Amino acid sequence: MEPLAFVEIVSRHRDVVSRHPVYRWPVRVGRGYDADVIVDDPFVAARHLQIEAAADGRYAVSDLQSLNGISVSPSERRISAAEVGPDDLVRLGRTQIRIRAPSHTVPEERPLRAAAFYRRPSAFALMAAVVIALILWNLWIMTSDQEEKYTIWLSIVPLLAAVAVWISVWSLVSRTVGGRSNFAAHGFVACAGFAALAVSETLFDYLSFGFDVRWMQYLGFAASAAIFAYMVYRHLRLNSRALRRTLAIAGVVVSLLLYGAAAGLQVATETAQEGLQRYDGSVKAPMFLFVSGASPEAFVSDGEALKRKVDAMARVER
Amino acid sequence: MRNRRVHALFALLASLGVSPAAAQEAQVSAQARSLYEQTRDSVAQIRVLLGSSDSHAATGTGFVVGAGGLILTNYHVVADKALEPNTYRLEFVLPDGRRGELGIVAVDVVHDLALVRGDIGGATPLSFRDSQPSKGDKGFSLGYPLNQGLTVVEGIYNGRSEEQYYERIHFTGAINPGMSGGPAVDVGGRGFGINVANHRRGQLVSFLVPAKFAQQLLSKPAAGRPGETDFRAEVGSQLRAHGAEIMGALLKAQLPVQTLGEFSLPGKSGEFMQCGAGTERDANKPYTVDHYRCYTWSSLYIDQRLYTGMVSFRHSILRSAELGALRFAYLQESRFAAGKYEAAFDRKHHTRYACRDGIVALKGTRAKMVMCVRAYRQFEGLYDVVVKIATVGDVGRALHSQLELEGVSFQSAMTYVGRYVEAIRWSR
Repeated sequence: MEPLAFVEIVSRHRDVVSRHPVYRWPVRVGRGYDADVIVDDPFVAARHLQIEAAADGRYAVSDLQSLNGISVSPSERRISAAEVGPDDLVRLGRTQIRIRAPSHTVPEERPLRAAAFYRRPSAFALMAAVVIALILWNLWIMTSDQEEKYTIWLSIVPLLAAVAVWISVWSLVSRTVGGRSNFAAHGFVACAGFAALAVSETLFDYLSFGFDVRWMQYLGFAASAAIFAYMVYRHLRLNSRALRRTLAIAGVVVSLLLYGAAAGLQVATETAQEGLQRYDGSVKAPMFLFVSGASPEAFVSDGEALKRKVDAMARVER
Repeated sequence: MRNRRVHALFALLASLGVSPAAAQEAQVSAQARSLYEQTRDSVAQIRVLLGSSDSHAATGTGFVVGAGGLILTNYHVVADKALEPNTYRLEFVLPDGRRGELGIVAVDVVHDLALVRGDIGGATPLSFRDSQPSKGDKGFSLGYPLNQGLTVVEGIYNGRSEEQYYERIHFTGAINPGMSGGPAVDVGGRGFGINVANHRRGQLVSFLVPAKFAQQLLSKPAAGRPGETDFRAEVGSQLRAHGAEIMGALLKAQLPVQTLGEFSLPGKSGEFMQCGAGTERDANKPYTVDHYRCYTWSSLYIDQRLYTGMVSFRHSILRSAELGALRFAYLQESRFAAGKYEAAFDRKHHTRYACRDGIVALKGTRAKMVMCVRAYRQFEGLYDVVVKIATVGDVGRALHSQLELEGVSFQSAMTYVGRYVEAIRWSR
């Protein structure tokens, strides 16, 4: 005998938990042993709902006067009866069901190795190696002023721990929300993001020095914020099926909050340090210096502007 | 900006935790005893009192130098009263318990002297010697060390202190906190100096202001209106004169040049400038640094939070055969970006720094240069200027040079900075 339909019990992550063929209408769903489809959910009545076939491949669902009633997701409004299609989820107690005909078409099968590059563990491993190499490179440069060269290598531990925590948190969120942790994909996004941040900061730092222009540092700050926003957006994409635009806005907001807070803290710290000589102290290797430099006379004569500034400050409280 | 080596310990300001005076000699000499008899009516303790309270913030010594209760002491003893007349009071206390209010008549911040007046009775003014004693002559310093009552300290006159910009007598004797402003007299009881400080790192190395400056202050008509209590304007004009004096001495002749490795650099400007060299050579470190440092020992005490009036510079030559370009640059950067923050900043005295940085072309090399300027809030026309230079030329060799000018006019500072930078030359 051909089944007339299937009643599927669906998890929160929309995975099918069990599938029950239907051979005659009506079908009764409940916790009792006399139900056609038995649902082990303490919030479901012994006889909870009844399903009948309706026109156009749809099904009529009606509440059998249960205590908690039924609703059609995503709404949680209790209804006594409804007509549902093959993609509608009917909620009873804490369980969701779906009714589909045998003729329901399923999506094409996925090819076995079709995972996007960035979702592959090997891609994550590669990017992690890049991050570790960047950190080690920076630490090596910093050993120039160290007596005890070996202790500085240990400072890689907290950095890597921070990256690991970042990846783990995103994976955990993924797992909770979507059922899959996407660990390798989050790992790749995080490592690629941090590597891009490091490269961008170094680049703008060198450009600021090499061309002797300070606004390059502000540009670098903006670039970092943009990279971070994109990174958060990619993490969110792995977790949510919400519209891309919504996720992009979320990424930008998170980045603005974080970088705004960092900038605010910096300004507040410098304001609090009244004895601070606020200058750019960056010195790079000669091959990264692309300007010939001002004449000392011009530099010194620009001191007048400094005088005007401090004179104005002195006048305020004299 | 302050150099630990340069500032002598001002006796008055040291805390009471300072260890007591050197052991007294068992036998008080007859000379010392007769001095004590002579001076106990004319050498008073001077107390600085906070507002209407009776507890003293600081103490020093003063002695009668003229009719009408004219008393000489150090400027640094009465500085709080001179700058904040409404916050502080001054009073004298004699060994027999007599006390009374004091008012300031004149100050000389350059030589650290002040004239005050009070109703001290008919004490005989101390007379000064017309000539300096000879090196090795015995002398006595009088005062109230650490609140211990009028004390006579025996010591040796050792001529002029050789390092300080302004003339000071080097006196070998235990001058302790609280004795500041007391007289130093010869065996005949005639004054030749005024206790002012001792050397922080020495033992019994003490300094006196020569008596001639006291006489100059006495002969000068009192500055400002009679009855004036706020000496801020007067201190300001003396500071400006001091700044002009130092800068005048520095700018008088061409800036002398000193060779340090491959660099020709600004060097010692004259006898008034003290210079020294040092080095950082540590077998564990992949680089060496040679330092050359000069300064004028000309800092003036203005109040507890402000010493000013010194010019100093330091050249450091960094060398490394081992470090590559990136690592050597990091070494430079970590040193060049350090020392931006001065924790001892006092907003009462200084504005914030305004700074400028950029690449400049020096003779034979390029450099990152920084210039920071700040103004004095209470003393118009005075500035602190800091210049920092780090050359960006050869991998493995660099000059870091830092110049600090305190309490000088902006114009003179810029002229000097211009010459300073001009004098730097890199020859391969």
